[in-house]
Amino acid sequence: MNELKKEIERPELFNAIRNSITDARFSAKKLAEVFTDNIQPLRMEESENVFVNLSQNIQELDCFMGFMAELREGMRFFDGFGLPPDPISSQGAGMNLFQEMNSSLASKDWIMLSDLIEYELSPLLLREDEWLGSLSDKISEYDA
Amino acid sequence: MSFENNISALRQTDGELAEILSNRRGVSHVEVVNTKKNIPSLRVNNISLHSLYDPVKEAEAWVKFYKGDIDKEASIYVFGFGLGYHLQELCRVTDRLVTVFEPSIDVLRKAFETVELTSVLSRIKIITDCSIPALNHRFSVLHHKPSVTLNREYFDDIHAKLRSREAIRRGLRILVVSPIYGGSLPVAGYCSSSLIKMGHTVELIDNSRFGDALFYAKDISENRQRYNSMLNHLSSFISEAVTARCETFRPDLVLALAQAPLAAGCLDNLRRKKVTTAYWFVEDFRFMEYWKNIAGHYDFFFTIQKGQFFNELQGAGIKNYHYLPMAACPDIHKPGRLSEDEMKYYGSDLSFVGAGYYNRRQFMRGLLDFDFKIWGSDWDLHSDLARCIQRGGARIDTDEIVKIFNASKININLHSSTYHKGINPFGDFINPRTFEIMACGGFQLTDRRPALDGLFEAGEEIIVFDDLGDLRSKAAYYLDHPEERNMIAQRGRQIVLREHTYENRMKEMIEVIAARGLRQPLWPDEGEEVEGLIEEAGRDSELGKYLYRFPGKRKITLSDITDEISRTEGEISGTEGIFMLMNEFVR
Repeated sequence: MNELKKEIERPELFNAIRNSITDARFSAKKLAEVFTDNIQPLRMEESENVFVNLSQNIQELDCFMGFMAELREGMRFFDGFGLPPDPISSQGAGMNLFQEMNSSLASKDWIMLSDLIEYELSPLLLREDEWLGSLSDKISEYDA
Repeated sequence: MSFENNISALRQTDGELAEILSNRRGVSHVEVVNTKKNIPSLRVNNISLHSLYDPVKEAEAWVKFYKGDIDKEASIYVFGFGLGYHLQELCRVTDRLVTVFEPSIDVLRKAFETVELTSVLSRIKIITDCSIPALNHRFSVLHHKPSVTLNREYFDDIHAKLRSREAIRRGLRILVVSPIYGGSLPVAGYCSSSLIKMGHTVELIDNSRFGDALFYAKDISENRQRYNSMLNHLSSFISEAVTARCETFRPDLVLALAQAPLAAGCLDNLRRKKVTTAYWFVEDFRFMEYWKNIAGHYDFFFTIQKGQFFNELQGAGIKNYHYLPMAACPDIHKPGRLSEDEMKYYGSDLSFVGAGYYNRRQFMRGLLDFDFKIWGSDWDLHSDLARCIQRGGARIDTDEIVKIFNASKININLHSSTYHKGINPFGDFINPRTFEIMACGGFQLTDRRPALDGLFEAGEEIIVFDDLGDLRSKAAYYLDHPEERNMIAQRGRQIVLREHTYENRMKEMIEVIAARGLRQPLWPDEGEEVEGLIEEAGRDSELGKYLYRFPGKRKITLSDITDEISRTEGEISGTEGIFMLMNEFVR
């Protein structure tokens, strides 16, 4: 364990982690933006384009969630830097939301899905971005 | 409270729907749910019709999304009512006429129970069935998507019908196909001219040009098989010609008149190209049984008989049939001043115009003591009727028929029968003569037919007889009462002009086709954008100003322009002359 921690603490790795957090913050903001952009078409149309975009956004969200899962795993070695859990994992918020989104997708309740994206997912992604910002600051402090 | 207020507001504009909504009981699959904003939303079969967070903000965004469409056209059609949030917002931003289609009475009932809608109910018309209002303006369609998703079939149907109406409003391209000869030949011309008057672009394929070929085939051999074979070849030739003409003319609708020689293959080909086809079977189905072979090949089948014929059509699996009685053409069948000589030649106390069918030959013998003239062919010149038969039983053309109707004090009308001695008691259609005499302002005594009941008021607009004795006494009475005769004839003419012209019939035909949906033909999209052409020519240039006469058309071709010039009366302008010349080069 200590060996692994030492490995992680190498400056180049710290840099890589910091960079990936910057990327993840960009992704979180971008995802919040593109999901928001697609809400209106999703409420108004039933075109192929709307569903292609939605499916692409969901795939990107999946990648982001994959990264966040890895990040949470890595943070265990630093006792989470004393930060509260990230908003998506806090009290299963993300899990509950994704289940609701899945269920509205399955029942083709596009209004419900739009609502969940507009009023739940996008704000959650923006809060996740803020949390990632705090994490980045903590890592900088730790590194210094 | 909302419900009572809403119903009371609706009653002002649509009492029938108000009654339906009042009597509707609530159902479990339509559920009102509270939103985060503490105002109601609606879920139907577990699908949300409005936002569960902020339906008002959603409605504002909906109106913003459609802003261009809302401002563009005079009429607005909204697909889906929901709880009416989007309608309230819409009525806030526009004062245009709004028609809302919503097939679910349960949704409407819930909306009326839940939301105060009185401010919009005076501004909108709600349609819950498949009826489409007549279109006088261009329109925009705004979809309330969740409502449309819930009732996709209904809204697809409404959309197709609106497209039909719009196409009809702009004017259809209609190809009218005449028979080679017979009673329906002039009817093809009457239909054609009526459709042109209604603003459609019409081409008449006049197959009377093949009359000589047909009669030649009839005379050349006594062999029936050979004759049928030649007839089939002629029909194939004409069908091919019609197909070829369709490719150039690109019709939306092909209307064929009874006995039009169109082969099944031609009609199936038109169906593949999504061209709507209609047939007006102006025949007695009991004698002309060929309807069995053709009716199924047409999209719409119009008949002059109903009752038993409808049963037969149903039995044969035909669906799109519709009763469309005969009519008159007021441009042809009209009152006219006759010279003294003409009055003497064409006039009589009693007259009959028509062919000498068996029942007529028997029946007319009972009128020999009147001043009586019989006009038409196929009469027995060796019978006691001979002295009444005019011009040796020659066929009489339409111009002369009109003069006879005008000159006779009493026009007798007896529907034909090949085996009854007088009136055919089972006759269930009205012949064209009935309408034509009345349109001419002629006084008519006709045999009683139940089909007259829905068309005319007997005793007021037309006088009917039940047998020879009845005809004789009524003829004597009306010969003695010219003023009464004249009053009835005038009332008869008025009702025909109002309700029984070919234009009325064509309007009804187009209405039937529009109500069931006109298909969009698969002709290549040709032509130039009118707006673009005007812009290019310059709005104030002679050409630009000229092109303003095609405002209803999105695209026009050279042939559209030359068709329009051909229809216009008066001298051809310089611009028109150039278009005609260009068309000649193209040809």
